[in-house]
Amino acid sequence: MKYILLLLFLTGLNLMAQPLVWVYTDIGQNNVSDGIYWKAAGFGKYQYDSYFVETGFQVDIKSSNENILSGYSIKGVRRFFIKDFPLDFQGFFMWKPLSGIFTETNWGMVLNHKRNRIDMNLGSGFRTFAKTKKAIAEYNIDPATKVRENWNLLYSFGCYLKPMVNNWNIGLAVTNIDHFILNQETNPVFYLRSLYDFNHSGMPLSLFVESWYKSAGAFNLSVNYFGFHFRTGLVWNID
Amino acid sequence: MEHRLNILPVLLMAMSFTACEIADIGGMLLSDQSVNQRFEQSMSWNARNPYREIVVPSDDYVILAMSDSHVGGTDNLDHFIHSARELNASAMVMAGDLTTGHDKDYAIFQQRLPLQDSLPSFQIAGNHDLYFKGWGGFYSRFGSSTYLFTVKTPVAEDLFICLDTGGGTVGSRQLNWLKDVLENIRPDFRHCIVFTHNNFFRNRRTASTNPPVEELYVLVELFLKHQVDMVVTGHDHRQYAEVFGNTTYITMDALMDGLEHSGFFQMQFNDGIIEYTFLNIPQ
Repeated sequence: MKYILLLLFLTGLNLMAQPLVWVYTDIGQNNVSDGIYWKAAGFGKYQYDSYFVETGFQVDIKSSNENILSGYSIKGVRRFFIKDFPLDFQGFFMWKPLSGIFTETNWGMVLNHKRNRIDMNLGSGFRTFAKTKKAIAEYNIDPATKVRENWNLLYSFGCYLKPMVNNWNIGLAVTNIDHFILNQETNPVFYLRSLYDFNHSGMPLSLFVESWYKSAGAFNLSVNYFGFHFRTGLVWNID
Repeated sequence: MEHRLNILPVLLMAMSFTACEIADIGGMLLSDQSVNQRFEQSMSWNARNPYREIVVPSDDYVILAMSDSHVGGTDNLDHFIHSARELNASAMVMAGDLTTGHDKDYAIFQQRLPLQDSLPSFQIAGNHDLYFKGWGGFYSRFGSSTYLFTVKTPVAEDLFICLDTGGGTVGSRQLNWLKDVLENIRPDFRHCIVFTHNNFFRNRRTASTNPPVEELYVLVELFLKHQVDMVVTGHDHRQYAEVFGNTTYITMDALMDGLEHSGFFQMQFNDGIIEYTFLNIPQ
């Protein structure tokens, strides 16, 4: 009987839930990429009522990273309102096998607010660099040595030409957050985002294109070019 | 009118920084020289001036390092040079932000330096040295900001690599040069120490900038793979030591006059062991 109840509960969840899948690909170049790099990522998001979970991974198709899988992330979100002010509270974890010899993990919390033409995030992250077993064995390293950066400020501020509900839009944002890169707060990245939603023509798809530009040393008042990438992707609202 | 009022404080702040000759606000948007351009000039200088080799009579020697003297003021710089003489240092490394970028400060800085024959010194450009088109002043006086020097003892040779991160990044060309040095030159030496201005890890919350994380990934891996013993930096003005793999990452105190915590850094090489000490300057 309890299994039947559980099944009914899960079926009910599924009927009310809103699954979403999206994929994108990045092509870019930077000071350390040794030529052009090409990455791809896929995400799944499952929303139920005011909660959702999102998980995704990134693969390197062409890069100087010897690993094909170059990132995994998972995020849990709770939406709530302060009066009519919608806020998403996110907790996230990200793991990156940077090479055969060391990895990066990040976890943290971000508060997101979207309204009309504005998309803002503010939060804090904790980064750890650690060595792999291969590196510890190969280079005779003390496994206890890790590097931690605590309380990294995470932010993004995006402003759009049209209200968010419009079926097309263009926006400009400054941030230190990307799906698989969290920069220190003093290395802001700028991106231009355009999107088109096919929902009005009966297809549960939207297409987005982004151009990212990254500099180094801006807060040192000695700015230098660091890199750029182009991103294009599709969002499929399975619901 | 409202918008004008909003940007007024920012403009006033920018004008006051520029007016008091502390910072070159324009550098937030545009730099006089790119890191790749400086690297090419450094390589051109290196081609005319071979890397220096310091020969010491025993396997026990001292290197003294400092950063962020921000001359104008020279009290702490004089103290540092005096200490180098007292400790019988084999060389001094000056890891950036030596001046404010103004030519008059470069002149003051250069006047304080001992002759190279009596006490060798090695300078690296930091972001402040590049302000107000300061690279020209640096290059005309000290030449390269990307180079090597070596110390030869009766039993071994140690390699010292100086990198230019004044622009917040090593840049693509300097990175390729560094890879080549680590792959082809590093194996012939016992110890390998890297000096540069920008500190690598964000140990505390400040407005100072570290290299972008993608660059950290590459540099940290290179230093780990090639057994770099120590990476000595400044920039953050507060001493810090962190070990990752077999590499110790040092951030030095600033040497600047008038700070509560000012100091420099001593490396003692003794029979194949490197010991280090942060030395504070009493206020």
